[in-house]
Amino acid sequence: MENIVEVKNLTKSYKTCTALKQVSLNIKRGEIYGLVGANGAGKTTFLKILAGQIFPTEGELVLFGAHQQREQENQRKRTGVIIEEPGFYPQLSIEGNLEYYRLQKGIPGKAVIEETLKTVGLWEVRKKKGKTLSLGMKQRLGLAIALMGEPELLLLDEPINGLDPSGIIEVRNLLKKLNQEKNITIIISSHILSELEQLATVYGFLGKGTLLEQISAKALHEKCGNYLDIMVSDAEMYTMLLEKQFSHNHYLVLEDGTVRIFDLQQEPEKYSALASENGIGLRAMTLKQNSLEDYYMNLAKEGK
Amino acid sequence: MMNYIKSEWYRITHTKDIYVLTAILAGLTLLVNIVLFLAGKADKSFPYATVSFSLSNLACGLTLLFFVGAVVVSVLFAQDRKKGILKNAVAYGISREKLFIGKSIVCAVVSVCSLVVVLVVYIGSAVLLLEQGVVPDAVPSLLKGIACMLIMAVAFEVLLIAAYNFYEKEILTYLLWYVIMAAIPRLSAIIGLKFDVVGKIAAWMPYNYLSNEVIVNMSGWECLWDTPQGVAKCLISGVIALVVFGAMGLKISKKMEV
Repeated sequence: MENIVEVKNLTKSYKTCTALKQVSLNIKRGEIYGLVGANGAGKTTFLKILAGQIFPTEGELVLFGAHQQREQENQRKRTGVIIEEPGFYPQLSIEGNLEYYRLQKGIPGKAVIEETLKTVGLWEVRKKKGKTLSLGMKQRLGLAIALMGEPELLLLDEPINGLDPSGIIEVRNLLKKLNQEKNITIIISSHILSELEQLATVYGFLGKGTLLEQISAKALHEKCGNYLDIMVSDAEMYTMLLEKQFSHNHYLVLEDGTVRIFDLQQEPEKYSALASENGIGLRAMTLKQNSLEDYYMNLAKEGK
Repeated sequence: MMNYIKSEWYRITHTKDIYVLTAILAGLTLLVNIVLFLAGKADKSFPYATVSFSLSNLACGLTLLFFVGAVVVSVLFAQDRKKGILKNAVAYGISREKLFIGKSIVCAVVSVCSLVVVLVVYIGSAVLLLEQGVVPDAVPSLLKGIACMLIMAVAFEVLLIAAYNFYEKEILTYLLWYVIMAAIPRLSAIIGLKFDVVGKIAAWMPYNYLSNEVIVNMSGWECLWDTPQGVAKCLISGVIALVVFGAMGLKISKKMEV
């Protein structure tokens, strides 16, 4: 598959800090690339560089095969963007804002406005002024602006910020539909990792400006696996038995005394029996699936 | 760039800001003329109820055009950066240079349209309500002066647009603009008292020549633009300023991060 974005050793430094350090990655056509990272990890900086809003200090960016800034400016007509807050004029109506961007993008015919507003669910309130919109509506308007003109690449920074639960589901479904039906490549960052989990086909984990790992959703799913949370009366004794009798040392003792066991090698019942047979009180036991959040936390902790 | 200009034209004509500004400016000039008219009616010996006096307020202070131009730029573009509009345009692939040039063109056209409306109200109400006064050709003289200073006024708008691209903080933008428009010319004029070369350069700065070479009072008008040399000075200095500020703006825009 063709690479839409190629990034080599991308670094962005400001006077006081380095926001991105030597990031290299490729994003292929048709992927939904989930950017995962804590605040200040470099997600927005990365997206802003892709959008041409800021310049990298070092490194190379290839966008739709274009290497030079001038060529990239032409190629950016194939992208739609929401980075940080959606940009629109508060004095113009929703419809007026779309007309403004329609003219700017040189899209012929006004039919596209109706089509786009219906897609994001703003057609009924199209006469509302930008300044009177709720946070959710602003996000939808930003999305409408990004979608207008059938972009091939969407750069979305926290696009579900401020949306209500039904809005989140609608946007998620819309993005999936755009990806599946029109093969639009999407690069999306979100703090709500459970949302990313339902969308992304590839993940890029960023931590303190560096790319910690890039992994496909399939590989991540396989890698995550199950873990067992077991709450016992004597965690110290239990973990000693765990190591001695099961030769198992991949576990964590949480702050509340819960023992979290990874890479389960026995049936869950065996782990409960280990406690009861040795006179350790068993208070609770839950078998859990490692979430994207856990995976990221472990990755960040390991500082891999 | 044409698409950007079209979109800006749409936005400006579909929002109230420029209409409100134009109405305020036109309203103020009308108010001045009405006050003069009423004062003249109430007191036959009142010497200021004349067209020449009314228009002298602008003729003797054409730097006002620069300030009004700055207000127009603020009204049109101050929120571009704050509201993320500029980010969208850049992300859509419009080059920063084209954005700068596009804004400058739109701003110049809108300002001229606004100026025409204000002048029609200002001069029209003066002619209709007031006596002619001691300067019979006050109207053509003022119009000539404005025409001569128009390029310079646009140049100062371009300078402010460039300054917006340079600083994110608005107050610094205006400060930079004011320093270049007024403080440097004033300082140069003072230094020019000692050093001839600086003095000669300072004489070509609009803030100085509009202060020193336009004498407007109740006994008559002596304006720089009455002579071909004066007209040339206004136009040449305007073109130089436009080129210099334009080049500055292009250079700043190129590096601008949004």
